[in-house]
Amino acid sequence: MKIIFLLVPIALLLGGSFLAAFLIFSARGEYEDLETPAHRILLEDDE
Amino acid sequence: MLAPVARPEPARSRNTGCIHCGLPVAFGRNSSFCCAGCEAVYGLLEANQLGHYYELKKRYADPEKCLPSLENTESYSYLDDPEVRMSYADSSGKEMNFYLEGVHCVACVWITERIPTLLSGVKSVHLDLSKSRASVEITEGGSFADVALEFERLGYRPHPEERKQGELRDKREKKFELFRIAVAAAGAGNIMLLSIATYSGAGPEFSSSFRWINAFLFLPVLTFSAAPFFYSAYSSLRRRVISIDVPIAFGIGVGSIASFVSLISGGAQTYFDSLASLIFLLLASRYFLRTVQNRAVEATHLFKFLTPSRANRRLEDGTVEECKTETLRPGEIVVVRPGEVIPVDGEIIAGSSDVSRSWLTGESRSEEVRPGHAVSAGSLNETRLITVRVERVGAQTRLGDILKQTQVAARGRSKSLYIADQMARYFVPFTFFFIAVGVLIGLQYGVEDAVLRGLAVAIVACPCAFALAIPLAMSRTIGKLAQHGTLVRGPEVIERLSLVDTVFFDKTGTLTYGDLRVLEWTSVRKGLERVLLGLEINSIHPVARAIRKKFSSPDFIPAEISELREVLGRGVEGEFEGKRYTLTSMKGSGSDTEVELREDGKTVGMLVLGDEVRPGAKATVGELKRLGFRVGLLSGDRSSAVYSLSDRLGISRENVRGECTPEDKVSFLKKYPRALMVGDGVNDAIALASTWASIAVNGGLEASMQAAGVYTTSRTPLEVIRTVRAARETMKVVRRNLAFTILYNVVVIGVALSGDLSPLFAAVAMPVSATVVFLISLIGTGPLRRALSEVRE
Repeated sequence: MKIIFLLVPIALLLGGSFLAAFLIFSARGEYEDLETPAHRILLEDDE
Repeated sequence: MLAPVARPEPARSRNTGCIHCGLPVAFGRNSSFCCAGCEAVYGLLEANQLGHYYELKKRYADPEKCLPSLENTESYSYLDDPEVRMSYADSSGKEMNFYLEGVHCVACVWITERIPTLLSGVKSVHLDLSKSRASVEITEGGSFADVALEFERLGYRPHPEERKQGELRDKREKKFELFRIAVAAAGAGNIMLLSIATYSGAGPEFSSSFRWINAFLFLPVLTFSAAPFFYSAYSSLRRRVISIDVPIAFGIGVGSIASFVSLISGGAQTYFDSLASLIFLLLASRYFLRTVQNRAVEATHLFKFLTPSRANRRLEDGTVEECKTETLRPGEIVVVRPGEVIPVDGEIIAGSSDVSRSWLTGESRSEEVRPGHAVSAGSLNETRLITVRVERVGAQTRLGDILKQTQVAARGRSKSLYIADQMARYFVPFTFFFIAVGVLIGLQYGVEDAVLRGLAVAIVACPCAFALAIPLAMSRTIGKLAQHGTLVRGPEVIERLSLVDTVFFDKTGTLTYGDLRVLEWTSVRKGLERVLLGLEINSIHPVARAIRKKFSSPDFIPAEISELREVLGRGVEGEFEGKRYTLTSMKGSGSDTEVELREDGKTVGMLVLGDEVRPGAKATVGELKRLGFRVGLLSGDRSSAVYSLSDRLGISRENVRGECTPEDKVSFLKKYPRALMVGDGVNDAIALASTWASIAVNGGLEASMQAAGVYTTSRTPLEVIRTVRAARETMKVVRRNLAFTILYNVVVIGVALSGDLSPLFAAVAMPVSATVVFLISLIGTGPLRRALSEVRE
């Protein structure tokens, strides 16, 4: 069961990296507007 | 079986609706459009190759939410005023945000963002549907007023959003809030994972190191995520008030200290798991509430909306110069052109015109003024140039006085009634009492036992209903109402709305459309509409506007009238195909205006113009009465007009008052301590601000938030019923949560006092209780769900 002491830090590292990813993307404003992009995708043809 | 009785279907199918907005086209109107405005927009878009809009609209738009083109309902020229621009635009003066009514689908996104191709001087428009907010960027020399008018023309009523000082800091704080939630969520999740392992019997070789890992994970949650609770508790204690954050900060603080002490001394009494999940849930519920709250603007800013900041001063030598309104002094002379707002209180010394004072009196008809007549700041000069001697300026004017009173009234009301903060005041002594009881019981077994029992009570007692469930229930209701176009300032407004027993309506603009419309047209032969249009082709008189709105269409080319001239105070006359036509106003019955068309002295046509009652007004009154509300009508309009409307809607005359000044309305409403006033955000501002609760149906969004607390963009008064019912049902959910929280606290404090509180019990009881109140708030009750869902009849 000694393996736990390797697995727990790995799990925490994984969790920490997801948290970091979330913080980075929310700082970039990725979560500011959750509605319009879903509509905007309907406008493929022009632009 | 009997065949069902056939009922006439309302003419509302999509293919018969207006091409631009989908509204039904009035019977007899030989056109594919509901009004001239929509038709003009259609032509404009087609000419600019923007017809794709209608394809998108057909596929994605919800016809219920589309609005027709709006024709000059408001003047936005103040947005280009350099001083006003400063408080709306960003620091560069090039970017401004607008709240747009009615935006809801991809067609709205597409067309608003193409405004730069329609208007020169606009760099870009970006629409955020989730906030109904358009960010507009203009180039040097561009005009925000033009953009606002373009939004209006497309059918999206714009409300410029004021930039508050410190908004940037708020934005950063908001982002930080999300960071805090994320850290708390990650911490709580991982701590719970390791704790579950311990609770389910991981051996001592693991449990001790797991506790240390948990403590390490808990540190950022405590120091970063929970910081706002400590800060806010500290600042409220310094002001000698007990807010809801005081017991929360106390519980978290005591729990953390006890856990760390236990950890270092090798004990097992650590509560990192329960504390972290509690912090996460509290932060999340607060975040929801904050995102749906709406801002209010100070009433003193209102003066800027309602009066121009620049005026035209006439000097001694007769030349006219532009100057700032504040620099005007009593005795000076100003010139007011047609279509301009009068900047001061004063007396007319030359010129005669029609002046609309609807903001002050609610009177729907404009008033004829001549030299010697007094005019008030904020009135709109409608027809001809007048010269005014200044008597009062700025805050001394009648408008300034009304706004001051509004501010005082609104401030008196804003003293919080918010139930969560009130309960906190009881909760703190309640907790301390039981901590004392715990200590006293424990003392029989020694000092250590006394400390442990006291701590147990402090940790496990949870004000979750006030801190978590109430904000959640409130934010859900406020958010749903916003989807229906009703914006609520904050949770205290919902509480007030829930206690209302009487509903007073304003007449002009609230139960009616508030402008002059053609109600009836009878003529001896066809084709006379062309003569009407020809006669009124250039006039900006309200009657002319109503006639143009009604009859403009490709079928009626305005007749070319020769010798066209206006007869002061009477009407217009001119010649067409050798015949002499006159259009004359008659005294109408009640609030209606009758206009007669004569051909060589013989009456050939008759128009009845009046203020049209909004659809749903009668149903609203009926439904409110059925629900047990007292319903009344208050108006500044003439009593005869007010009574004729109240009789038609079924409002009993004892609750009806006509010819009210704004002050009369206030003193009348004082007799009803639980009254809801529904009125215009501008001309009823004091009445709205001084009643128990109020809903504004018109006027600027942020200004209405200050005076009323609720602003609805809905076109039907039926929305009032939804709002009031939703508020009542929300408070039922809140009370249910309170009952549950009391029950929870009785049970867990009982356990804590008995001295048997284990970390496992806390780790189960606290999240479970939080989840229960969370679910109660989220699911709500059947009547609440029905009130919040679509109920349009």
